[in-house]
Amino acid sequence: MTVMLIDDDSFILRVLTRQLRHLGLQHWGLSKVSACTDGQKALEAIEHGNSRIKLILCDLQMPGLDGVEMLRKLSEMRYPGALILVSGEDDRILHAAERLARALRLKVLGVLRKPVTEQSLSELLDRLSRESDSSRASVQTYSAAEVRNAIASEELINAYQPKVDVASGEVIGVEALVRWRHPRDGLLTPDHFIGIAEANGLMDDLTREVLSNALVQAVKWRQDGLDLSVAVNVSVKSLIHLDFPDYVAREAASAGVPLDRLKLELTESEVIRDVRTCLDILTRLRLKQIGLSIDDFGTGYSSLAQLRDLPFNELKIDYGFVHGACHDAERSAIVEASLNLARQLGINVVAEGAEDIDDWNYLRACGASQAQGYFIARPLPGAELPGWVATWNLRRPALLASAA
Amino acid sequence: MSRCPPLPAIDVEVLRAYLGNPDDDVLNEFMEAYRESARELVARLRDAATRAQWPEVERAAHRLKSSSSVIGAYALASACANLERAVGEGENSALRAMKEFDASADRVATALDALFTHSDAN
Repeated sequence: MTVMLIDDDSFILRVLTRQLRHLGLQHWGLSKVSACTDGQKALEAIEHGNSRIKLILCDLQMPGLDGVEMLRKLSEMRYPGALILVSGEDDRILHAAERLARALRLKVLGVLRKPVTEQSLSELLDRLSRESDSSRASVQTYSAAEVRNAIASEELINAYQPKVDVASGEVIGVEALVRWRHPRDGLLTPDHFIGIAEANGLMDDLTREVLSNALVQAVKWRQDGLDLSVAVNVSVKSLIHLDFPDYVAREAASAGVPLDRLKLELTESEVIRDVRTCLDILTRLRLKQIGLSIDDFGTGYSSLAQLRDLPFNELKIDYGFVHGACHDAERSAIVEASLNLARQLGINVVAEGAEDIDDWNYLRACGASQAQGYFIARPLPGAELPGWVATWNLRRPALLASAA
Repeated sequence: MSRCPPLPAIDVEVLRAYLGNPDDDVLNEFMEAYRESARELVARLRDAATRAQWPEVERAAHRLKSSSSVIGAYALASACANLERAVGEGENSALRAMKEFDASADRVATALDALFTHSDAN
């Protein structure tokens, strides 16, 4: 299998070739290095030997065909191998190119700043084996009737992802995340059916189902001595019935969950059309002591204007800003500004996307109040939560002792 | 602005680290390759500057910046970065930045010549 290097500078190509050979190509299932100073020629070679090229290292800044055009062409020819972007440009350009490559469905292992060190190179090469295992799984599509039937026949269940207090490690609450227990295809995540539900007017029914399941579960936990707040996702688009707050309050009361232990996390996929109705509903929810979170803050329509106009008492910083923030100047600037914003507005803040120990330590260092993410826990079945809390309490002392 | 003591024109140890500690023969081979490549790029860059072909100057400076940092020619790499930026600011800035570039490029050329005269003598 070949690794192809594309850079307009032959000295740089020579250095990269030597580095790859010195690291040992065979560790990553590679056998040959092919170097190219011309993007156009490289493309021709890739097209002819398509399947034999396992990896391309491509410089962004080239005369003639530049790196971005190269990405577009690779995507057009459905290049199936992996890609590493290399550049002496600033990090913002490099990261924008990386996002573009992912959007074009290319398998990007990562980006390398020039000059490239052997260590950074071998770290990215290690991702090569992981990438090739996970082939691009195609998303099965379902019909509106199937989704409607799933809601009606109680095939939707909730998984629960814990949120913890960053300073004390205390478990504060959970976010309910819907899953479809499909009789044939197994447990499906929302990306398989939420779009279909939204497009076919099924979101109200779906939200009701999730809320009702979450309330039942919350009561079970209370009986086990776990007093957790429970958050349910609600699309702003579905806030069209003025009696929604009464409905939620009634459901919570009949289940036996105090209203101040219930939160609604609002996601927005488009501009709010009927501002009056939306404000009416949200304000009454708050008057009833139900919590309102602005979800995925900083992305899409989840914006400063919404924070100004709607009565949120919690802000959830999007995953995309939090994970990796300690290694990234842009992300950390955004996370810290969001924390400050929440502090000054006097509202609670949850950092989503705490995926590793670095994220956790970073959030502790910058004084985030609550965190959620794979580092703390993956979404769990409700019945497993008490067991997880016990394990978490064993992990807590070490996590709180680490440098903050 | 305070003046820092001048950086060494080149630092072979930087290249040695990038290449994973190779023996001196390999190291010399790469220094020679850099010398050739830099000679060509510097000539091309100066030629483009005299013809006021600034985009060409910028491209050459960008390439030379990358390769120079691999052999620890940090002053030259930084002069290249300044030149790239100056080209964007207009011809007067570019001409000023060329002075710094010329001086750094000459120092690197002298250092490389000395290195090879020295190794030839051994």
